[in-house]
Amino acid sequence: MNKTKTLLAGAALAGIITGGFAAKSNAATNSAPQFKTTTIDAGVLADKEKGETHDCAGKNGCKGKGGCKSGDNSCAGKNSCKGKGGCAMKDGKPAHKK
Amino acid sequence: MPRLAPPRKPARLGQIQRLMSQALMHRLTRSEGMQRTNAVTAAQIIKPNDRLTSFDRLEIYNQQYWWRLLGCFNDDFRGVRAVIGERKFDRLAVEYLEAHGSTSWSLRNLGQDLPAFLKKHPKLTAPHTALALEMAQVEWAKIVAFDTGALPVIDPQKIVKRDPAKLCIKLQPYVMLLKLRHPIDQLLKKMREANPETGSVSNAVSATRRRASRTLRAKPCAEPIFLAVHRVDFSVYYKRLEPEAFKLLSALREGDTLADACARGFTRSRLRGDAAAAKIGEWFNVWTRLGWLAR
Repeated sequence: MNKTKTLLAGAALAGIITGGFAAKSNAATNSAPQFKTTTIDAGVLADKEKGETHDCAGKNGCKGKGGCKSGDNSCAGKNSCKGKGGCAMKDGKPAHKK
Repeated sequence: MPRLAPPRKPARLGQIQRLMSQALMHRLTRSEGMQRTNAVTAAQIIKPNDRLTSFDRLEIYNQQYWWRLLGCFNDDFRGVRAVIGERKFDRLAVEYLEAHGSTSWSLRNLGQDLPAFLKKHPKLTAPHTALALEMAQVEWAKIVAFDTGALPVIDPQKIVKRDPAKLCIKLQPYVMLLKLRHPIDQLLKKMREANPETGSVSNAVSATRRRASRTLRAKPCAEPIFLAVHRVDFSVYYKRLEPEAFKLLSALREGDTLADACARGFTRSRLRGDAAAAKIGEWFNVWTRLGWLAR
């Protein structure tokens, strides 16, 4: 390995070691996750609050949370679609046909 | 809808399922009804009742399939919508979903083929093709960054004695690296600030659609932007990288050893020797703390 490569790889290892120490000490002093990254520049937050990033990630998992997209549960209990073979919803609202 | 004489019924369940899925995935008419060509299928596999014909009953499922997918697609690619405008986006959504409809158990994967699709069909986003493509890449990266699994992080104590010429370090699969010509991160920030989100449990999809109608435009930058889309504590971030850092991380992702990746990062760089080493030390410190480096 040439000199430059050795120098750069050594610097990388040193960065990993110091980063590891910092992560450990952060974890030890602040158990709450929101404090762990306060001193690192993670960049610009994509969404304002946690959980807003992707509406019900794995969207089939949002059932029971009060309606998601054109959620099938939106008509639960309303019986308007009973017996019609499905509950036609558009944009979260029942789609009344014709 | 006049009732048709029932045609011959399919004999096997598999046949019924195929007919049903073909009918469901067939795009809606302009007035958002079921295509007339599905009338035969409806008569073959769906019984009418005293209120609805076979056609009406099948149409409910056909509409639900499309409205659900269109709603999700719209939510995932609000930026693309803001770039090309509502009308074009609606056309793009139908074209895309017809070509790459729901094939996964999770709607999370719905947009995975969009960047490739946009490259193949530039007319659908013209005249903002380049901007729309980069927007789609970043918006898809955001989805990947949010919920892709994580590998175990490296243990610094264990690698300290390893030979960097042989040491391979992986990059977390949820860290997405993108080389862009447009300031997509800033555009998305602008859009977010202009359109405060209502949260995931809202029924106000139509209201969101109205708000998203504002257009986003940006000229290409003189220099490329290197962006990492990643997550920390369940939140997604856009982090700009220096060109050398981007090259280095890309080399690690491609399986280069630590020593080779560091060297590759600084090929054709103005930074040399100690200055380059100082940068590398600083970057690896941050990447370790962000949990980007994995075994």
